[in-house]
Amino acid sequence: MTASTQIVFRRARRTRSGLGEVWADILLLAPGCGFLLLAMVVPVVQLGLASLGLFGLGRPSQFTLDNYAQVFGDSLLRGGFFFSLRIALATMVVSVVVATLLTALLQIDFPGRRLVSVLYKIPLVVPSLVAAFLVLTMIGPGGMAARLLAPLHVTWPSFVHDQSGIGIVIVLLWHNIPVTVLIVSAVAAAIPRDLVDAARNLGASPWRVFRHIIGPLCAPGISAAALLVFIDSFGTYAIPSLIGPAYPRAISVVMTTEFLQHANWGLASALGVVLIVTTAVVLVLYYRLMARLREQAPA
Amino acid sequence: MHRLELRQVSKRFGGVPALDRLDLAVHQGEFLTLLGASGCGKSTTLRVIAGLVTPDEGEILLDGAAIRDLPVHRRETAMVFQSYALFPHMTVIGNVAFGLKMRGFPAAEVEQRVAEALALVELAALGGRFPRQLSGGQQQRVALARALVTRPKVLLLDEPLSNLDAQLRDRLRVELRALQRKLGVTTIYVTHDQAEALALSDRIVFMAGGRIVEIGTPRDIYRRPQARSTAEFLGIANIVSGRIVDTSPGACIMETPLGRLTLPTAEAFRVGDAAALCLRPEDIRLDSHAAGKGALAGTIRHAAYMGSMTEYIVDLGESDLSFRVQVSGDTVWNLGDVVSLTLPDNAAVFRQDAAAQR
Repeated sequence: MTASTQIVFRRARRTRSGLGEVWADILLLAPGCGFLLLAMVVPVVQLGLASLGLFGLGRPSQFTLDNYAQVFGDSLLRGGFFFSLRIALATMVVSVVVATLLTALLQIDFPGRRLVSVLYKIPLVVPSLVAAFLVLTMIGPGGMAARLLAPLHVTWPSFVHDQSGIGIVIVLLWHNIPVTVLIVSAVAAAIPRDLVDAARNLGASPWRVFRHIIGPLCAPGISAAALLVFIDSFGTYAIPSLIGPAYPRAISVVMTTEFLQHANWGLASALGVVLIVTTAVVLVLYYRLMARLREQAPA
Repeated sequence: MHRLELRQVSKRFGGVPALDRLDLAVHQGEFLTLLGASGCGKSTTLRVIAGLVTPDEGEILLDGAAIRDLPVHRRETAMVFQSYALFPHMTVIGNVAFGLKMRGFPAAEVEQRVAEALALVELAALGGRFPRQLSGGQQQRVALARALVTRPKVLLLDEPLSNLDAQLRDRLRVELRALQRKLGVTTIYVTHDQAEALALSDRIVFMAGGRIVEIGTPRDIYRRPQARSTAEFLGIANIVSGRIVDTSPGACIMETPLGRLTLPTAEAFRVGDAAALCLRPEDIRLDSHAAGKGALAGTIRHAAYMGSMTEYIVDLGESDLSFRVQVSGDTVWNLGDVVSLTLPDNAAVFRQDAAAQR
């Protein structure tokens, strides 16, 4: 490089520093951060503002807490919140228990093991809506089970459109159990075989190996799977909409009704915020619990 | 009565024999090493003793009692794994206490014995740490403490030092042996490192192909191997093939490419037997000039300085043979130098096709 070219470069670097560099950085970050901002931050902020009566569609912007008052005050809405919560908790607990048992079962070599390991994955390829129709057809009112039992004068109990939400939970389990099994199996497979051998060699019976070694080591993975199931089930719309009861209605169903049918943007937004906050609280509790378990010494 | 006995133990993995009619007796308090190349069956033998592998045939006796059908968690053996297998979610104290807790010892006794065990391996100050916070050497000691605290009848060690660097390995080897002597616990050690086996053991069991080739003290097995595979595995072996041409009580005369050699041997040879002799590199003497009758002439083909000694590869003039010779100290000869080799008169002799089985 000649001396004159060097001088030109040095000068160019100097003029590009300062404000120029800042703009260059912004432009480079824009696609990634811009997407995050647009897709995630802006909608949530908009939701929060709309729930407070600000910048909502089709309404004059005016700060109000009426929407939240309605969410917590109206028994229908409160009922919907707890209904969603019940469904999510039931789905979470049952899918984790079943997935853990199924994973433990699949560790043992038994005749038909391969068949089972294929069968449990079927729901992964079946969309939940199709599963919902399946549930309606099989165990819904006038479904196959009901018609089979009718000649015996046995009344088939109501599993869909019922206030307990059992039908919803069944469909959600149909979808979530295979996913949970996949996660728990992967976690269990990651435990080195040596640890199990060492525990047995030190006097632990098979149950105690599970209780003291496999269980605790799988716990972080299992709880992550549980969290995913809860979040997914708490806010799910399609299934409760299709086979849920008229009352109480799941929180997502209420949100949609308020927004689409009643154009109540503010109330729908408030429900959305409640949904987000509940999920966030669960997430924070989960991380706190994990952190505390990591610090503790379960000797 | 032996502390531990294996009788005709066999194990196949998918048709491949991992152990083939193994017979082994272990004395109380001895340090026995199972030595061999990868795949020889030494780790499988250990796992059969621990109960982690069930043999297809044969019997295992601990203090005279058959334990083959006893489940793993009821056997009075303790194993230290190559990977240490420390429980990552438990502290050092938690790991060491695990075996005692599983066996139902009261809390006070557990605490006391754990403290003793940690003091024994000099890790008393690290009781509250988790395995991931320890170095390799420390983890190995925790694994050892965890096994010893249960006061097992037989301690099983599966290549416990192989993951450590050379210096640490040497140091821990000495400590391990001292500890074992102090406690007097019957120990079975698995390794592929022949130097380790020679340094640690009361007896060495050399294995190949799922069978025991030879058992003996380190000195016997090194100086007087009874099979070619043993000679070649333990240390450097200069093997010379030949034929027995005469025998006498306690000796034999062998015709070799080096000439006719008279060698002491306890083996009952017959004239005409194919045999081989093993010369250890440190036993061959090199001189710059003809040393005397019986000395061979050779040319230095390679010289490697190894710190405490120099290793030479010497091509022998008359035959295609070449010997590896180790001479302590600095390099004296260079490539191409003509030297005179004097062979020891006590080389080990064994049958050429020997896979000597005990």
